[in-house]
Parts: sequence; structure tokens; C-alpha cells
Amino acid sequence: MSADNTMTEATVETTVKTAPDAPPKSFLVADCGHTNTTVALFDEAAGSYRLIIRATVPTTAADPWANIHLAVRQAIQQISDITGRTLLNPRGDLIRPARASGTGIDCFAAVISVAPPLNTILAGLFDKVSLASARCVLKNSYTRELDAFSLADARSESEQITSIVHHQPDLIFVAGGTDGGAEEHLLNLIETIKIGALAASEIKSPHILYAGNKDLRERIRTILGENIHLHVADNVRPTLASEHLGDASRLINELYETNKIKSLPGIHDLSTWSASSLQPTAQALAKIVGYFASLQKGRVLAVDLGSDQTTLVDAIPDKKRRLWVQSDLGMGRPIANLLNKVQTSDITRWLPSAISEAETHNFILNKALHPQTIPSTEAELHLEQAIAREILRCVTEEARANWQGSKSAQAAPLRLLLARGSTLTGVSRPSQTLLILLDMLQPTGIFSVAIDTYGVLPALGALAAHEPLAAVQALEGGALANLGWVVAPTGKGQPGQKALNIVLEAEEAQRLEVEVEYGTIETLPLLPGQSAKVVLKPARRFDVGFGPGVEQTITIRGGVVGLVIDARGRPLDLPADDNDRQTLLRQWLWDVGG
Amino acid sequence: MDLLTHSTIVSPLTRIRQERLLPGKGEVLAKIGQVMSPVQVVARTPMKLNFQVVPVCKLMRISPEDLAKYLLINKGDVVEKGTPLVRKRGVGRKEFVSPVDGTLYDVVHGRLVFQQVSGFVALRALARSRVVNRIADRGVILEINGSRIQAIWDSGKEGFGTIHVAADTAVTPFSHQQLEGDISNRILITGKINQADILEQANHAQISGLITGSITADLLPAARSVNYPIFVTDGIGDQGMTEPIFQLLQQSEARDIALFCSPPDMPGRRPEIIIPLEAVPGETLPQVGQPLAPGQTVRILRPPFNNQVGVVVHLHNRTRMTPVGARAYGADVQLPDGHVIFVPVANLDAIV
Repeated sequence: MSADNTMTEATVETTVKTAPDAPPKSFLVADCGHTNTTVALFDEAAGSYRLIIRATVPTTAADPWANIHLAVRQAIQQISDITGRTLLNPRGDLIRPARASGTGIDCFAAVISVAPPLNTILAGLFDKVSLASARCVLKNSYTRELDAFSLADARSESEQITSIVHHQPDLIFVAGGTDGGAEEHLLNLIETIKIGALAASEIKSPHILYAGNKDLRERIRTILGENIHLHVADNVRPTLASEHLGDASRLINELYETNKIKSLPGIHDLSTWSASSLQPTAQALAKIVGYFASLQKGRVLAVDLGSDQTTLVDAIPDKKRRLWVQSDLGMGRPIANLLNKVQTSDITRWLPSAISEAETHNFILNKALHPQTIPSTEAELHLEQAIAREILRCVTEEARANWQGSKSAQAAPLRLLLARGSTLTGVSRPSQTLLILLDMLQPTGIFSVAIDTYGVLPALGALAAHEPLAAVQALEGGALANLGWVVAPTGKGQPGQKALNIVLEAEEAQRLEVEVEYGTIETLPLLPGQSAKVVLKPARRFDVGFGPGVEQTITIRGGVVGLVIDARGRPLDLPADDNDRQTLLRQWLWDVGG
Repeated sequence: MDLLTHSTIVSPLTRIRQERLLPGKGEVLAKIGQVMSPVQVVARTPMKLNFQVVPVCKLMRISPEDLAKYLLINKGDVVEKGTPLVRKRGVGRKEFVSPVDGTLYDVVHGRLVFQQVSGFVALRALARSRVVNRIADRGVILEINGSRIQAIWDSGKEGFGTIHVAADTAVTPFSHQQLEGDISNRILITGKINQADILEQANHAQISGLITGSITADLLPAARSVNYPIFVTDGIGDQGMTEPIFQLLQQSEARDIALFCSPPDMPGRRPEIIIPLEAVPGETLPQVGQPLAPGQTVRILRPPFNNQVGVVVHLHNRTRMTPVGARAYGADVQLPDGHVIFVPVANLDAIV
């Protein structure tokens, strides 16, 4: 049985045309991360907006600079130096709007992830009910969980108060009780929290967010009194079977913006340049990924492996997108936390040649001290990529465990996989990035893969709210690098057994027929811009997304890697023997062209 | 094109403003203009320990609303174990005595909340210095003339003492031989630490501190647990100390030295090693955070030239291919042996 199914390219198909009377606009977007700040210039070229140039400089939020604005100006000045286009006036202010002479810019937008996370203590009744929902809320923003109080907590009230004073949280997030449900335990907990919050306020007054049993709101307001900053959101678990995370998420994002982003040194100057408020990077990324899902009419998964956090966005058209921000794992300062979550052998098992445990530890801790540094040897490159793999594994496992607990979890077929973060996008051989993503996310089916090479995706998400046409055209114009397509069948077999037959007929190229064995990964060349008809004939026990053994014909566009057939099976099985495993890893790298 | 780079201060003589802050609110003892010795306390705060909640109403079977009638102490009162807290007169006379030592912090819904206090956290000046500013309830800013070295890691303890350069070279490992002789109250300088037992032995030798170029990752827990402060100038591993830092410390043999930890929650602030000097510096301060320029001394932060010090001879205005094939802005750096190598700016640390 054969079906013809035409799929869209990884980057966005043209759907919006420039209105004939719309004035051309140029715009700058900035992404202020923990380690680096990237600024990109977009301008009109051949009737649509194109990425002209981008510049990346060290972020200057911390000492010795202590001014986030300085890095943005520095990056803009680099753009001016290279293009010859004056964008800043002699005082260092942005020239806006663009002048007829070609100087200046029309629009500026920025996203921020450099602010520290909201340090939070969670409080609720049951770990698997209210606290589980509260944790999902926290992971929608840049937060760090310091402690959690629940009925299962064996600590005394005195110890919980001491914990609040010791941790000095920015926020105490209280959930618990279905509407009309439990009261006494929650009120006792609130009294404990009140004492702790007042004692902690000698140094810093924590905010308290209440999103529990709505019947208790007024009593809680009375108990806490006027000296505590209380915020009230909809109950995150109004019934045992329902979950409402949106209102609490919105309030936590507001608290993050107010208490963290607006406290960054130099942020005021930066915000005066922007027509809209400066958005947290994760929220802007979630918006643009949701937009991609609508455009692709399919599920889009995005991974942002940042310096100080790792973000996952899973979006399905017409459904709520799911966001997971892991603020304690990243390739910068928090990289050392990985050693608390995995064994060193979990990291080194991904290395194609042996590196000792001691060297691995030293490397990780040095990277935490100098997060801006980049690999200069193949061994270090592989080590960074092995660390990236384990960070992605930890984050995806945690996110999936929590998402599966929520009602909206669905395993819709993946259509597009997006990746960003300099460890993933800054490599010379993008096939290495593709292999990292396939190894750790282990997606199945037929999907395309693109990377945010220029680091502009969230900033375009922020811009899209005000200049949707510009954002759309910028994406169309090559802001993303299309790596190609992946076919990853499900099913188990024996190594060497046929998993899939593929016939690839590309324009102006020879017909190619390949048999792919179970346990292998193959790459077929298909250049960017080239399109091809691909007939997929899975063996009886294998499924490419249409049923076991069901043949499928698709039309795809090429990418810098091509068409990758990942028949290694799910979950991936690595040999226990070091030599066998290293040989296999080198083989996989070779097979994808890495 | 200007290329910003990270920097490390290694300054033989400069004017230093050192912030000394308590972890919380407290009493600032030093006055503006006062000249401080290392041991003098500039500020102090009560060492607050745990809270204790006593559910006195439940234990006395009285309603929380009636507690005020029977309560014998007020908020802020300091009580000892055995002090009467609540007395109910008349028929069924009862008394409840304090089960804890502490200060009555609050009375909440029939419960007495005590905070236990034990002595004071005393913040010392650590260096001969002059108070130039007071920060209300938190601390002071000290001015010191002397040498200043920014470290990269500290073990969480501060200290002061006299410099003793125990290592022959910047890469000599810390060894038992370096603990010979009278080294009590000295702050030892060594190239690198790669043995655990020597840290414990140094504890017994009553040293006041240890400055090393590097320490291996497995020894960090031990470094945090010894009684004396350990400051690392270059990194984690086996690389040793950068030559300019070692030379400056070598030249300062037998001088007083102070070790200041990096303040918590202040990104970018680093541990500092300060050697007070009588000499008065010129007006030039270290130029931190400046764009990289030819002639700048730099430390290389990644292999294969990790921890080597060189001089920038050329800046590239365009990105170049790194040895692993990525593109990056960078500089040509001349090493002491005369070789010139390309290093990405991200892997350079300007020594200023």
C-alpha cells in the first residue's frame, strides 16, 4: 500500500506577503544570555526581510562591567563596523527610526535570560497532586526550587521556619487543597510560612503566591496580614482530576520580570530602546514554537541548551504548548550540577575515545568557572558534546515524567525538531548536532530538523507580537539552518536484519535505492534547496508512523546533512564493553558525516 | 573592531576598595576614617540559629485567644530553659516553663516562636586598612594600598597571615616537604594540589591559609572541610599557577596577606588576595573590562595551551577557523618561547 504525502520544508513556507503600501522597515533583535549577547540586523532585501548580519559578544551583566546594555551596544557597534551602517549616535543611543541616509533602525526587540532565577520554596499538601502541579508551574519560568514542604515532610514546623530563613527565597509558592477541600493542614502551613517569611524579611521579604483551595483565600489574606507580599492565583488543582496552571504561571512570570529582569544593571537603558517590554527568552521561544506548530500543522519540539538553563518546548497545533525551563542545568555555571544528577560513566559512555573520570570532573568544573570558553581540541569537543547529551537526557526525562502526569500530554507525531544554544549550533559539522539530538531525544517517525544557527529565534518570537510580517519573513529568509529530514522507524529486530528499504529520487540526480539494517544509521545526500520523492518501505515489524510494514511516499526538501535514516531502535542500546561502544560511536559519527 | 574579553587583576601596587558586608543586618562598629588592623572587627551580627516553635496553648489546654492573659513574657525577651512562660492562676493552677533557650520572636495562633541565638558573627578587617565608607547595618568599605590578585575559587573561609612561598616553581605540587619548619600562621603558596592527605597534614601544622594555582576536582570537598582557607588562582585540575601570579607572590615573601572570599549572590565578583603595602600607588587603576588590544598580556584558558601566558600581537577583525572547525573571533598570541598561535577571544583572559 502506498500513499503520497507532501511535507513542508523545515523552514517556513511563504505564507505572508509584504503589503504593497507597507513601508520597509529594518530591525535589530537582541538575545541577552548568561554568557553571550547576540544582536542581529534584519532588513528588507528583494521584497522581504532577511537576516543581514549578527554579532555575538560576551554578556556584560556581571562585574567588571555590571551593565547589560554595554554588550548590546558593543554588538551593535560590531555590526556597524562590518556593514558600515551607522546605528548608534555619538552618545551610544540607537538611532531610530532609520534615516533616508541609511543610518539607524526602525524597530528593536530583545529577550533576556541573563537574570538569575526566582529562588522558590514550594508548599502544598500532597507530593503527587498539588506539589506536582506547582512544579509544572515553576518550570514554565526561570525558577529554582530550594525546598518543598508537604504533608509527607517529616520535619517539624521549627525546621521549616529555619529552612525559609536559611534559604532566603524570592518566592514561596503555596498550592494545595481542591476547591472546597482540605483546610486545616493548609492553614497550619500558612502560619508556619508567615513566621518564616517575616523572619526572613530581615534580609529580604519573600513574595508569597497562593494557588490552592479558593475558599481559603480571605482567611489566608487575614493570617498573612499586611506586611507580606501576597499574590493570589487560580487553584492549580481545583479538583483532583483537573489542573489549571495558566494563572499561576502568568503571575510567576510577572514576578520574574519585575523582580529579576528589571533589577539587571543597565536594563532601563535597554528597555527604552524597545517598543515592547523585554521578554524572558523561554516565553518568547515558546511563542515562536507554537507558531511553527500551527504553520507546520504538526508537533514541533524545540530544545534550547543554554549557558545557565536548558529549555524544552513541545507544541501541538491548536493545543496548549508545553514549556519546561530547567534552571539548574546548562553548559555554563550550572554544568557542575550535572555531577549531582548522573554518574561520570553516564557522560563518558558517549565519548568515542577514553577520557578518565578525573579529567572529566576537572573539565566540568573548569567549564563552570569559565563558561565562555570554547573547545580547541577534538577531545574537548567530544567531551562537551557528551555533557550536552547527558544534560538533554536529564531535562527531557524530567519534563516527560511531569508532562505525562498532566492531562494535555499527547504523543502526536513529530514534524519539526528545533535546536538552539551554542554547543548545538556552533559546531563545524551540523551532523554532530543532529546525532546528539537523535541520541538523547530519541524521536521516531518522519520529521525535519533545523537549528537556530544565528541565535535569533526567541528574539523573533518577541518581535512577532508587534511586527508579525517581519518575523515571518525573517524566518523564511534563512534565519534557521535546515539540517534535513530524519526517518526513525519504531520496532525491534536483530542487528543486520532489514529494517527499511528506501528509494530516493531527487531532482537532477540518480535514483538511489538503499536497504537499511536494524541497529544502523544511514545518511543519504540531499542538498539544501533540492527536493526529492522518497519511498519508504519498512519491514514487517517496523513502523515509520503509518503502521507496521506500511509503505509511504513522501516529498522532502534537502538540508545541510541530508536525509538520515535512524534505524538504531528505541531506546538506544549502547554496548557495555568500552572498546565496542567507542567503535560503535565512531561508526555512528562517521555514518552521519560527523 | 573592539573585542570584549574577561580579565583577571594581578596588580603589584594599586588602591583597593574592599567591601566588607555582614550576611544580614547587624551592628557596624568601625567608623569612617578609622585605621583598622587585620584582627579588628568592623561589624558584627548575632549568630542566629534555629527557630523553635512551642505549641503552648495545646500543651496548656488554653485557647489561643486567652493566651495573652497568661503569657509572662513579651516579644524580644530572652529566656533560658526553665524560665516560666505561661501561668494559669486559680483553680487548676498550671505553669509552663521554657523548654529552650532563645528570644521570643513571635506569638502565632497559640504558639510561641523562639529564635536561638549563639554569640556573634564578627566580621574582621583582615588587612591593614582605612574605613572610607559605612553601609548602614551591613558593613564598611575599606581602602587598602597594595598588591591585588583575583582568584577563581575559594573554599568559603577567609583569613590573613604572612606569606610563605613553599613551592619552587609555579607548577610544583603541594608536598609534605613544603610543611617542614615553622609554618604556623603562614599562608602558604604552592603550585598545585593533587594529594588529599597533605591538606589534613597542613591542618595539623596550623597554617593560616593556602594559595594554589590549581586543585584537582576530587579534592574540593576536602578543601572545603579543612580549618584554613584555600584560594585557587587558576583553575581545577593539574595546570598549576600562572607565572605572573606566582612571581608576584614570590616577590611578596614574608609580607602580610589577606584572603577575601567572593561575596555570595554577586555574579562576577571573585575571591581576592590582597597584600597591603606602605607604598602609595599612582592614580592608574587596573583597566578591567576593556576591549582586547595588541600588547595585552593574556592567560589561555583551554588546552592545548591551557594556563600559558602570552602577549597579544594581532587582533583578527574577522572570524577564523578554530582547530575543531568552528568559527570564532580571536587573536594571535605570542608565547614565551616565541611561538605565535591563534586563540579564540573566548579562551583568553586578560591579565591587568
